[in-house]
This record gives sequence, C-alpha cells and structure tokens, in this order.
Amino acid sequence: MQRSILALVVLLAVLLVLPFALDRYMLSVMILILYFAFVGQAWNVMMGFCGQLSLGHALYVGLGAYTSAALYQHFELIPWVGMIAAVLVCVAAASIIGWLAFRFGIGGTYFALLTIAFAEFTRIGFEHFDWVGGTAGFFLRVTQQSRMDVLNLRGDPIMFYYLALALAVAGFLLSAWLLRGRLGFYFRAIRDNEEAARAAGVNVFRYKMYAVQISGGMTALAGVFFAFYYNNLFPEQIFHISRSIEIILAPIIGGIGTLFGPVLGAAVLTLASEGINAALEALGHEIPGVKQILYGVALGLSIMFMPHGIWPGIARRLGFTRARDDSDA
Amino acid sequence: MPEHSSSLLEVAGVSKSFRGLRAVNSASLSVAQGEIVALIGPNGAGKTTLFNLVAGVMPPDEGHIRFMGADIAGWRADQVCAVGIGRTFQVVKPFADMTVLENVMVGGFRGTPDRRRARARAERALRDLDMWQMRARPASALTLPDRKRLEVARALACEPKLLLLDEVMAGLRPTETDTMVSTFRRLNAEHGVTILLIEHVMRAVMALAQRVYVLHHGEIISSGTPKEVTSDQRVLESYLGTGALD
Amino acid sequence: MPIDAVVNIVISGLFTGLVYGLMALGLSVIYGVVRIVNFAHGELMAVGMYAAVFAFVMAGIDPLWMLVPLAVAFFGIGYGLQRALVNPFIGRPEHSQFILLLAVALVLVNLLLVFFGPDARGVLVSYSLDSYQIGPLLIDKVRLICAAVALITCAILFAIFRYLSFGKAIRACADNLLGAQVVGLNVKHLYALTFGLGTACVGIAGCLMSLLVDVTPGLGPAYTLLAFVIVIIGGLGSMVGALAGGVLIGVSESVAGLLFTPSAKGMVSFALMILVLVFRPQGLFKAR
Repeated sequence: MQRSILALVVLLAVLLVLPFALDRYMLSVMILILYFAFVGQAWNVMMGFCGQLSLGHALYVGLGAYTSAALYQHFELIPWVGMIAAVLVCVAAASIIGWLAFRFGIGGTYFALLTIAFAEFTRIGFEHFDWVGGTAGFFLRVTQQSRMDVLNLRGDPIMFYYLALALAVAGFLLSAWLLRGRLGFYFRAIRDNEEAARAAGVNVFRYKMYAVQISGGMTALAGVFFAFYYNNLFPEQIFHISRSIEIILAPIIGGIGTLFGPVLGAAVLTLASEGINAALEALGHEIPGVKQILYGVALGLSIMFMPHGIWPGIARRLGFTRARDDSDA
Repeated sequence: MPEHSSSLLEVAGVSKSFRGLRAVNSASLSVAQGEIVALIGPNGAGKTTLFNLVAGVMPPDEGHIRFMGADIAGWRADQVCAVGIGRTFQVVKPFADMTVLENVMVGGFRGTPDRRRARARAERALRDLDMWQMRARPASALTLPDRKRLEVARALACEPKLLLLDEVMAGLRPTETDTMVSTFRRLNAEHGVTILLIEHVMRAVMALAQRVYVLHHGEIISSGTPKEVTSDQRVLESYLGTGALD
Repeated sequence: MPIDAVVNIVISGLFTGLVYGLMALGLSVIYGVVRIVNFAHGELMAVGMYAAVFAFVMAGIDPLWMLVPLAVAFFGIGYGLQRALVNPFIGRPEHSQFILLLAVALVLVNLLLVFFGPDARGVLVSYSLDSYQIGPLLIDKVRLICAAVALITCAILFAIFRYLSFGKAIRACADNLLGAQVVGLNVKHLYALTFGLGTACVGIAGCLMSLLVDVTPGLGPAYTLLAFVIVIIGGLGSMVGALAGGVLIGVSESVAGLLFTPSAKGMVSFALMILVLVFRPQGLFKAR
C-alpha cells in the first residue's frame, strides 16, 4: 500500500511541473488525458463500483456545460458559481433517471437504454433550445488569451491544465474515499449480488440513487470545464452518443472498478489516438471514421480478452496490490 | 391469540401462491428467544418460500408475521435485516469481487457508517466461524463449504437477534457438519443468537434443534421435539421413499 | 388541415411502422431466445440498406430483387456472428455482452462511413413516386409494397416457429433451456440459427427501408435506439408486440412530424418509451 501511495505522490509531483516542459500541442494532449481521466473516474463510480451501466453520460457533460455557460453568458455569473448550478442540474437529472429505472428494478440493459434515451432526448431538445443557441451553437465571450482570469476561467491553456489536474486529483481522491466507507462497500455489494446485498441490510434503491447522483454530479464539473475550455457548445456534438462512448472507453480499457484504471486508460487511449491521427496525416489519409474503427476493435478485443482492463495485470506485476483490509484499521 | 411472552418470531396463518399453486398454506410457527428451531420437510414442501416470506423477499398473500411484537409482513429484505433478522441463502450468494473480510464488512455496516465498527463486527463474526485467517482471500476463490460459512459470517456481522439458516449443511462432509453444529451451539449459548434453520441433513437437526416443525405441501403437519417428530406417522409418510432418517 | 391529408399521413406512418416492426421483430426474437441484447441491430439494418443501395447503384438491381439474397446473406452473418463472437460471452455478465456488441456496432458504422462517405444515399426506382388512389386516399406504391413484404416476412417467421421442427426446437430452448439440453437439442446451433433468423429480418427490413428513406451511416445508431424503443414499448420477447410497437412508433412519428417540427419527431419515440417504462415496464404485450 505504501508503495502505491509513494508512486502516486511522485506522479503528482511530475504532473505539477510538467507544463513547463511541454509545448503547446503536448499541453493540450495532457489536458485531454486529464479530462478523460476525470470523467472516466466519474463514470466508474456508477459502473465500476455499483455496476450500473450508463451509456448516456454525455447528458451530464452537456447539461453541466450548458448550465454554466448560459449563466455566464446571459447573467454574467462566474463559472465557480455556475459550477454549483451545473452540479445541481445534473444531480436532478440523475435523480429522475435513477428514480424511473430503479423504482421498477430496471437494471442492466434496460437501464443502459434509458440512459441513452435521455441523452438523445436532451440532445434533440437542445437543438431547439434557442436561448442557448440551438443547433447554431452557443458561444462564450472570449477575452485575450494572455490574460489569466481565474475567476471567469478565461486565459492561457496552462490555467486549464491545472484546473484539469485538480479535477482529476479530486476525482481520484473522492473515489478512493468512497471505496473506503459504507457507500463503497454497499455499492460493490449491489454490483456483485443485489439480493444478497438486500439481505445484508442494504437499501438497494437508495444506494443506487446515490451512485447515479454522485456520478452525474461529478460529470457536471467535466461539463463546466468543457464549456470554458472550448468556448463553444453544439448539442449535436456534446450530447452525442459518440461522446458517451468516448467516456467509457478509458475506464473499460484501463480497468473498470479500479482507482487507477481510468487514469491509465485515459493516458493510453489519448496518446494512441493522437498517434493514430499523426500517422494518418503522415500517410496522407485523412479518412474520418478510421480512428473510430480502431476504437471499436480495441474495445472489442479488450472486453473479450481483458475484461478487467490492462491495469490490474500491470499493478500486480509492479507490486501495487489494492489496499486490503487485513493490515489497516 | 395470546402468544409466548418470549416469542421472538411469530408466524400465523401465512399463505403464498405462485400462479395458482399454493406454495405455503396457512402455516404457523413460533420461535422463542434463545431457541434453536428446525424446519424440515420433503423437497418442494415450501420451506424456502416460508423463509423468503419472513426475510422480506416477497410479501405473504395472507397471515401475520411478527418479530419482537412488530408486524413485519411485507417489509423489504433490508428493513427486515435492520430490525434484527439475518439470513443465508440456499444457493450461496457471495460478493465475488470482494475479499472474505470485505464481504462480511458489508454486513457489519448495518446501522452504522463507521468503518472501524463494521470491521470489528466482521472480525468477530469471522473468528466465530474460524475464518479469520482467510480474510484477504477473494470470495470467488472459496470452496463451497467455506462459502457457506462466509454467508453465515456475513449474516452474523449484522448482529442479528434471529438467524435464518437455509440448508447450510448441504454438501458438507460429516466432520464439517459437526464443526458447524458446534459453532451454532456456541453462538446460541454464548451470544444468545436465536436460530431457525431449514435442514435436510438429519444428523444436524437431531444434534442442534430443540424443536422441529415439519412442512409438507406448504402446510405444517407436525411439530415437537426432534424425537417426537421423527416418530410421527404423518411425518414418516410424507418422507416415504426419501430415506431421510439416517 | 384537411382530414384526408391527415389520414394519408397516418397510413404512411403505419406502413413505415410495419417495416420498423420487422426490424424490431428481429431484435425481439434474438432476445427472446438467446437473451442477448443486440446493440448492433440498427447498424446491421444500415448495412442492409447500404447493400441494397450498392446493388442498385452498381447494377441497377431493384431492392425488391435483393430481398432473398440479402435475407440469406444476413442469415449467414447472424449465424456467424453468434457462433464466433457472441457464444463465448453467453455466461458473462450482461454488460460485457452489451459492450462487445457496442464495439461491433462502432466498427460497422465507421466501416460504412469509410466506404460510403457521410452523404445520404438513396434508391430511386421507376415506381418510387407512384401512388394508388383509393377514394380520397393517396397511398404510395412503394410504401404499400414494403408494408406487404414486411407482413409476409413476419407471417413466415410466425410459421417457422409454429410449424417447422427447428422453429419449435428454438422455442423449446427459450422456454426451458435445461430441459432442451437434457432432451439433446444442440443449443449452440439453435442459438446461432435464431440469431441468423433475427438478422435476416433486419436484412430484409433494411432492404425495404432503402426504398423509403435515404441512408447515412449515422442512421445505424438511430435505428438501434428505435428498435429498442419499439421492443420496450411492445414488450421484450413478444413478436406481436414488436409489430404493434413498430406501427405505433411509425404512426406517432408521422403525426408528430405533422404537429411539431419534423426534427422533433425523434423526441416522440423517446417520450413514449419513457412513458412505457414508467407505467408499464414489461411492455404493452406479454412475452410470447
């Protein structure tokens, strides 16, 4: 256990100073990695810990993004306040979906479909939502890049790097904390065997709701980040099912249910993706869709031969076993 | 109907039908505080259904179920656990991706969010079942007898007043059965855990139970001490051909 | 709006709905027996549509002539898919199967994108714009033909399950897997047959749909969702439900396109599904 903590601290130290050694392009890649690490972590809470498959997580990214962006653009509310609203909106949405599904014990596939349906429904809805731009898109005021405006989240990519890093670290710590306490134990019990969980005193409905609410709320923050980093939002893009699939790729390939899996998965996937892009450009083939095919193949191979992801095997070889309860109190 | 003043569990006139088939027909039984009571009967008699009714897996169609005076019929399984009834499953249901200790800690968290308290309860339960040394093993790696013990430990960690054991001895060798019997005797004598168990293994029933109920076609056809029940003509007839008296 | 225009729109929706129903039927059959939720269903439909378009553009073949070849081809694809990919996953947790088929769907959609490009492709046969006049009603010839073929295919499928020995064997597997194995049925083979049948339905549906709608790669995921909406509304595992659900969706889409903006009609199917999930989660019809 001590080894893993030490390794994480070293990693964090490296990440803290990394921006000063990177060029603009690599910085943007790192930001992507951290973003996907965080949002994958959020999804992992629902799926990896509690076993509820969400294929519509883009819903929360979109809702979080639009909420904070609209409050900023129309009411000049700083994103730090907008964040709170975004989380509230997403928790509300998660509660609706959870209530609809879990009230009738809808799980597994039906639940996944319900999440997709809500994301699609919202996507179409926002396409007609002119107050936030509709299909034409919603644009945030952009100020000079050199000015670092932390209050309004306007400025240099370095600021966004540290914000993404903060989110990723916070997500990681939150997940670790969850796992240790009753929430984490009950989540995992539900995942492994709902009936046995009930017999052991778990109010399955309530805890499933917690799982979706926490996951949705966390993802809201990713949405806020997205809005202020990219400065433009299109419903067709941000709510699209491809976004939802992107979100789940990293944790699945990295390792569902583990703490570091989503992080590793994000790193591997983003770097591979950029590598593929570069290779395709060099070869002169800019065919849209090739990358997605490779994603699909990677996902298929991963789930077939390494359903637990690549992290557990690596972790074992490096000697980082999960914190077992035999040693600590 | 005046009941035993120390009656912990009181099941009165409970019935349950599935698609027209009466699985449990107006069954009544009671378990007093500190007793060990067995529920026996041929396969398909409705024993597990009766357990499931008490444990809150499904509501009875009619009848009353009272636990410590409170009417718990129709309560959810987790509510039944919260009020002090722990249960094991006939087909074991371990939390496969968690260790033995983590499995039992799930039970330990009952009524408290405190991790240390959950762990302490889990430790006690595992030591009671002589499983402490395998606490770090993943539950999926356990043999069947060990999984059965894990179920019991998990139920125990909830600190139940009444333990419902569903065929815990099935598939165990005689020595393992004897160990389990003495463990339950100890839990009953030292920790005051009341036990209601479904069993086919008569060796265990004779050794453990103070009183026995016999269920056949969903009805209680006999009750009394193990000796009385096993010499009851009706009981023998219901078991005819199964050779359960070994 | 004049009443006959509304009736025309409803009938048009009904016919389209029957083709939707056929597509959903394939999904329902697969789930009812193999208990696999085929997340690549809509993508297979899109492949069917593109196949018909391809045959038309390359060789001028009317999609109606492609019905049987595509049915056979898709049967083979389904059979192969089940034995090669899905079979090893039968014992695995549900989400693993789902993700596997999701991966297949992802690959299929993007293969289509790479080969055919993002632009819409359609089929325009000589009678694409013909219509029959029955009293005040104006019925599209193409739509009528498609609806008829869809119905015939459904009838054939019903007959297979009712009268043919392997159809009955498949039903046995669905009703009582252990019993079927005990009796000696080759379950793996029967599962693959079922998958093949379900996929053949989709191939036929896709072929028909190419006459009605232009195809883009993005249609794949949209149809997957639509198939699920229909099956959830109709009742997972119910053949009648799939057809009825398809018709319901087809009609409500048409009507919604009339009442609201056409682009919002996608919301109607989802709203319906959410309603069904809230009030009658097992669907409108009971499983066969």
